[in-house]
Amino acid sequence: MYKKITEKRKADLSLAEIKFDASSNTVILSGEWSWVAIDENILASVRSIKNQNLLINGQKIKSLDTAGVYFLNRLIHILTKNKNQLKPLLLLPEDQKLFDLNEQLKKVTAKSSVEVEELSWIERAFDDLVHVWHTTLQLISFFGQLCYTFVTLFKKEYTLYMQGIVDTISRAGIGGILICAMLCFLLGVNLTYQMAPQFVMYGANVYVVNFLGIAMLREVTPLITAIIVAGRTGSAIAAQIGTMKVQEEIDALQTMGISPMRRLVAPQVIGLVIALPILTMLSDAASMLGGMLFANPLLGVDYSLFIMRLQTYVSINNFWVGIVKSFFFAWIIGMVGCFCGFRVKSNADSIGIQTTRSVVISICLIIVVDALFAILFKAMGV
Amino acid sequence: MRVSHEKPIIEVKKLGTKFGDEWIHKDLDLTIYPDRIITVIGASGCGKTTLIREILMLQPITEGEIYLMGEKISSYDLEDPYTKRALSQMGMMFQQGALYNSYTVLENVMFPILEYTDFSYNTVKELAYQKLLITGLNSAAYNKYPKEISPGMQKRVALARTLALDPKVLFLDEPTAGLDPNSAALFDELMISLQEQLGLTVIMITHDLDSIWHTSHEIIYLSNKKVMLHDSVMNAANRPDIQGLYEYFNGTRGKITKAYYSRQERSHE
Repeated sequence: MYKKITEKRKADLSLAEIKFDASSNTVILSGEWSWVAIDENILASVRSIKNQNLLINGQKIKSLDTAGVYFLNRLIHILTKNKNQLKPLLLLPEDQKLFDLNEQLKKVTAKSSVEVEELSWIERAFDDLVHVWHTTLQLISFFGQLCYTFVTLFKKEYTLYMQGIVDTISRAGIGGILICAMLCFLLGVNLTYQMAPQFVMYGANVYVVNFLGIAMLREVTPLITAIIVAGRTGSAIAAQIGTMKVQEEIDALQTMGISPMRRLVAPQVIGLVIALPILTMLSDAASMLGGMLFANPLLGVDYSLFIMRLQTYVSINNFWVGIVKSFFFAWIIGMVGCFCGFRVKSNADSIGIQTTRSVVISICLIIVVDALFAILFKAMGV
Repeated sequence: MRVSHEKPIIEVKKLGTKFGDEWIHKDLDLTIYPDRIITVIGASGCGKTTLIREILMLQPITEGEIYLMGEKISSYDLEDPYTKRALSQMGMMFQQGALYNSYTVLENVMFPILEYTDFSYNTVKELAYQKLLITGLNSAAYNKYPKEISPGMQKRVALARTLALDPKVLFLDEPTAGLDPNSAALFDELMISLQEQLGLTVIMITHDLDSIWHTSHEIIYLSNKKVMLHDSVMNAANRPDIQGLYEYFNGTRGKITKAYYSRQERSHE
């Protein structure tokens, strides 16, 4: 990335050089032997020197640093490999001090060898599989803990941490109203706009109301709202608990005898379970508004007709189905957010990884649960 | 370029730093000559780290001038100092090590060399080995991640990474903080031997009295927004006229260390 800077700098310096004086059998080193001014290729010139009795003269070296020492060593190594007899290296006293340091290191280098253990792709794939399986088991056990916490939560000796619940409602609910309502409004507009030509083709203009009522209230709005909240709030929960974990705040809570489940997790989940259904209702209203505003100019369905048909032909059950689902989505978002937060290990990347993962897992689970509900409600005939 | 031993390596003239309405430094003058270990001490919040960050061009100054090897560095635009910083031959070892967690120990040390040079990958790897060996780190740790090794080893890796581009001036922020006495003593030894052999100018901030007595050639005492004293450790410890400094070296903790090192010095004579 910054190699050009080094190149520029090289122009002001005298580069490291190796010259071979054949008459006196001397290898003369000159220039700056530092990382900025050494080109690796200078070593190539000495490869042709073989079977000589050599003196290496480094007294013209302008400066030497540890990188320079490394290249000096390589030079000596190449020369000895080519069966040259070397006389003791000539260096200025201050450079000699640095070079001696390297002599000590050689002994260490000879002893130590570094082995890198590389896994094959099959091993890595199975590792990942096992990892996913473990995560699933841990999530299930976390779910169990959470349920247990909720069962004991309403015992008389424990009080609910109301402040945390209110905080979550304000952060996830009130803070998310604008974005959720706006996106669902736009989705209502969008679906009406896209489907209008189809309805016009069959002369079934008024059926746009049935279509919007069922599609938006039942499926799209609860799903979109939950996904937005998972991205906005679920990730924030994971990051917050993750940071507390890194700074050992969770451990501090436990040493005081306070259960993190009860103090941190329960308020988040309860707050979300209250906030998300309300958010979904508002989004429902916004999406219907969007559909209504655009059905009028595009399909000639005026506002009174739209509202009348919505009341008559779209069963209220569609709305309730969406709200019931949002309760479960809220539970998933809160639970997964906290779960990933607790999985953070004490280093900086871990928070990022777990925050991302909390969003991915929440959205996956939300869609899976949504599919299960579709089957369930179909069977119930709702 | 070789460092001239007669000329000061760092000169700070009439430095002033203002945070909000408060002056942290005012008319601060400081001259540092090369090839020695210098410790900056002072009460918490007196601007030790700020001073170092200013010399390192990490922070703007309000007034005054800073020179590095005769070159005025305080006039550089801080928005574009990267080239200058790299070639300024200053290295900083941060208090927490600031190792990159997603890289292994070896990759951490290789990183700056790879960024700045055209050397082949293997050469860079061997250069990184060399730096790690200089700091005395066991090669078993080279392929581990920073979080998997002990704090003492992390400090050594941080030092190796700082040495990767062969700085002439080395800044250390609390190098022995959080280490057990044994590791701290080993780190002190390492610092002394490296300073001698690489001819470094080491400027460190520390509160570790043992480390100060054992390693430092000079003490810089910051107080009242200025350098109150710049002298050898022994002289600094015997200045009852300077408030704060005297307590620093002669408090309940200080006097034990002082007595020990005074005796040692006498026995050398």
